[in-house]
Amino acid sequence: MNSEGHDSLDAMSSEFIAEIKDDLVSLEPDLLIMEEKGADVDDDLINHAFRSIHSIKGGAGFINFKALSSLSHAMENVLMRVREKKLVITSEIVDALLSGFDKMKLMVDLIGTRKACDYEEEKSALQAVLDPEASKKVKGKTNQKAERKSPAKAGKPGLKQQAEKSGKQLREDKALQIVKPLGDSPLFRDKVFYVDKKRLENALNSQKFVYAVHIRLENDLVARKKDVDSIIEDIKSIGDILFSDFENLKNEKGKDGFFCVITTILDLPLLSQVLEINRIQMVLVDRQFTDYETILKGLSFAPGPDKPKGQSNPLESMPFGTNEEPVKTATESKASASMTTQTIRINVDLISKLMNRAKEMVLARKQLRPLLEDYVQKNSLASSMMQELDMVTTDIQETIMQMRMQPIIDLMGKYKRVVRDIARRISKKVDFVLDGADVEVDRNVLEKLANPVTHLIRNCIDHGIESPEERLKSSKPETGTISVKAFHQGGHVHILISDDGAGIDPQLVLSKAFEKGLVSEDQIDKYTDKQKIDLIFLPGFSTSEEITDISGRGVGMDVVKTNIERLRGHIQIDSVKGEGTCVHLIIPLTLAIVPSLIVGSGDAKFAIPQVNIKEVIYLEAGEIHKQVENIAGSEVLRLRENLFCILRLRNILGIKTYIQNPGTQEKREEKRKAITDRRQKTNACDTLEKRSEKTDRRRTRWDPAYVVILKLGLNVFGLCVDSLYDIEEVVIEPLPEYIKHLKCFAGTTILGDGDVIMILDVPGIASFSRLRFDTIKSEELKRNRLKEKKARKKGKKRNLIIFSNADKEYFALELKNVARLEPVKPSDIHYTGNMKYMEYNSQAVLLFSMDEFLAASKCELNEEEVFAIFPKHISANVGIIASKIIDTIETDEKLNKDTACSESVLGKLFIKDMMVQVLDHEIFAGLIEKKAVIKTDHL
Amino acid sequence: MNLTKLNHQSRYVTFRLARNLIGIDILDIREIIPHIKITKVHQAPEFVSGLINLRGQTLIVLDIGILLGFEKRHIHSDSHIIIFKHKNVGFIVDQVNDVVSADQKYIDSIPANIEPGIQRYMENIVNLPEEILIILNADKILSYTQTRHETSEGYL
Repeated sequence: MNSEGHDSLDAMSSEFIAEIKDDLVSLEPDLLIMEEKGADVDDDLINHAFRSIHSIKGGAGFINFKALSSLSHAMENVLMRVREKKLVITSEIVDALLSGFDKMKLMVDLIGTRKACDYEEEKSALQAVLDPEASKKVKGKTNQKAERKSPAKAGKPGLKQQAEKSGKQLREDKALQIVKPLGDSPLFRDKVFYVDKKRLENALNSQKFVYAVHIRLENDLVARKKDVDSIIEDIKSIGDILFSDFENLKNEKGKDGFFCVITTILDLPLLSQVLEINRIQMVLVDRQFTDYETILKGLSFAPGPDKPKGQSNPLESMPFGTNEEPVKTATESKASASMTTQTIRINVDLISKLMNRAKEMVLARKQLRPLLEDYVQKNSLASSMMQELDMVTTDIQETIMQMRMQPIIDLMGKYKRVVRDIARRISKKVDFVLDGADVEVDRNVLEKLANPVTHLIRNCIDHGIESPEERLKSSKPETGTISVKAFHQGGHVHILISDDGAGIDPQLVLSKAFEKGLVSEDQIDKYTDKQKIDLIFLPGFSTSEEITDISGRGVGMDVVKTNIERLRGHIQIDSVKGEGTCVHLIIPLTLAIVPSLIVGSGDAKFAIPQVNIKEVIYLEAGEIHKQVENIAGSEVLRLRENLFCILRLRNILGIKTYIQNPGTQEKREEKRKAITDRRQKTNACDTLEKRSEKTDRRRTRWDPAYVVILKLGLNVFGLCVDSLYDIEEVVIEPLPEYIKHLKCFAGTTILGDGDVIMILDVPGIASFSRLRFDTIKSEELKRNRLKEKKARKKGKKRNLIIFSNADKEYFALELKNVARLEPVKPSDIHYTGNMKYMEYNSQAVLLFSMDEFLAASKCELNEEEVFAIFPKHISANVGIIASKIIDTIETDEKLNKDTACSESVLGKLFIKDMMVQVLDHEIFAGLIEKKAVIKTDHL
Repeated sequence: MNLTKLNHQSRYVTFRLARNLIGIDILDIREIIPHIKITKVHQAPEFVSGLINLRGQTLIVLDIGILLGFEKRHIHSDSHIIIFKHKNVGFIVDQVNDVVSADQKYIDSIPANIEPGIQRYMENIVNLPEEILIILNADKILSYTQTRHETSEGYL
């Protein structure tokens, strides 16, 4: 593999190794309990163990750790048989499993040191516990597979022995010690030298430094008029040469320098001065591990500075990894350890503890303040100290909060490489696109996401994306795309992992599930496509025909779902056959900071994450009935021509609220179920009506209400609460035991004043209240489509000014055609003959009323004040009298035009209860002008 | 609390719940605090009193009285919250009494006629000279309430 991207892989390897270790830890007790229970072992336990093993296998497969992968595969086979009830757990089986487990643990522990361990014994033990026939079969299969997967593996034992032998030989014959340069100087990267062990130890024992030095012919020797012999003389005068490869200079032409390992008591600057060699050409070296692999490696490195002929290196097929990568991991991690570290790993629990303490400190300070008020006021020093304390505590809190957060790229960044590698391994072409890399997630959550996300991405490549040929056949671009999109919404992180591959065939899923006995026959017909797809979450489901080391076995989605649910998250799959699959993960930010609205119901307070909130509507006490309708006991809010269903928080949670009778101070439990409830509405009998408004407590105590409009994906609904408090940045803490199962809450938080309150979970409330958005959604979609259609039919948008001429006779002009409006008292209108004038800016302005142009009643001038409308684009100084200006509105409604309309009217419009005639400005203005000319002519 | 009657035998923190004298092994108790504001959790099982903020940590408080079949009691000035050692769970008691160390000869098994519903939380009883001390088992309380809430999950 090429050298670019090593960093990401190294980071990833250690991540996987950590995960494998975690899985191993959880595996052991399972195995032990299995032994204890024997035949009565319950399925959950086996499934759990199976999942652990499967994760290990997956992880090992990912980092190309073949030995572990193969051993876990063998263990998985055994557990598979147990799960299928074809094998009854006996001590022998558990023995075999445990020995396999021990070996796996050893392997993982040895990853860093790269000591190989033989696992054939454990593997054959595992195969022996399967019944002989199955054993053969499995063996055959495994071998066959191994051969197909990595041809090099076939010759492995031979090579291994050979390597072992030569390693031993080397160790014994020459007593060599591998040393490796420290630091990450490019000159010495990937270099190791082998030196005489005794001499090295002697040197080290006498407190000498051991350096690796690179001597360049041109600059260091020729330029300074030295030759190789003289420089060696120089070195010998100050120390000892343990190794040098200057002989190679003669053998290989074109080399510009050679390496040597020297021991001396001089420190680096002095050595540089004495030898007249630049300081960057020399570094300290460290003793290196002594196993044969490295010695072989060392040998192949030693002869020259060139990279070893990696591909032909027999070590490639060694159990620990394909080629030099693991070696690199170790050398680099060692090298980096010797440098100053920028980051350290801290236990997340420690941080949360620290954060809690910091919060408590802020709180204590808050409470201390009033107590010390007097003292602080008298003592100016104390006041500045208090301020200092304020700042520091706030700062501490903020910093700690930051500590917990990590951008999602830290997890997702690795997958680019992973996707590429896997795609190549199974010869598919796949691109990986990441969107929302800077979305921050709690470190804790991020770590737990690694496993399921890996699984999903693996699925995308293995099952989702088709082979290039198939893709071309179905006229898709040859290269498939896996895209990951992350964003925050409502205290959750949403991660969409989608591919443009083959999609999931619901029918295939169903038939597979039926084959495996996961669904019964009578259920088959009842499933919708979505439900069919959801069947892949059932334990033991797999559509993959063959089991590969990338995926298969049917523990896939089951594990993913369990993992996501363990995070209190949610997983959803949308797939269109032939077009691709999208997996939607909704992960809560367990400890993320979310600005939330604090609301009250009864005397309880709750926090609603602000991202879930669309808007808040205030219903005034008297207004409720105008806006809220009660449909068969369910309430809906009419708002800007939309209907929102309303839920009442106190009904959902069963909060008791009390109504205090203003007279007797007696408290009674409020029993109204809906805000629209009131006695008057029942109007069942007169006695109720007779209750005067004052005595009906429900009427007098008619509180205003707030409806918080909540967003849930594309859906919207209202939650009615009694009061609003503040917006606070809250830290979501998971629900404690005993109340974890409550759907309506997302977590708890401690407010600034020290109160513990519950955080409402919007999706939970919706599902708890059985809101059926699916149908509503499609309904809404239909309506939107209708609206769109309508809109297309409709005319352009108009801004109209509506005025009345006479009672119930309304006209409208487009606002853009109106120059100005002028209020005028009817008494100020002057009449000359049949003409009306008004004074405006000391000019006489001719006024017309509508009845002079078209069929209309005579303008009523009964109001105290009427209006003169001055249309634009008219040369003459004329106005139109309107008895009343009704409103200005914006409408895109299509105008109704009928034959009865006069030609100066564009059409009729129904707005609220009014029939409005919209005037055609062009014709109308023409009319006015004509009229004005006639009139003035007439004068 | 005055720590009287101390010796090397098992010691119990004793408290009163609906007038009954009840004890729990002192090693299962982290601390005892005066009652503070408890936030009610709606929809929670009945034996869950609510949540408290104990120095920045959210703790769930149970009403063990309900588990033992006592009437629901109100919180008053003597009420205390006892916090279990190994879990972030506390419970309300009406009054905290002494730490009692019981001599082996006073320890008795649970009378046979005690309701099985209550019996399952009990360890044994101590026949003190003045009155009977019921010893509860912290593990049983914690594990049993756990399963109880899980089974109730179905219809909640």
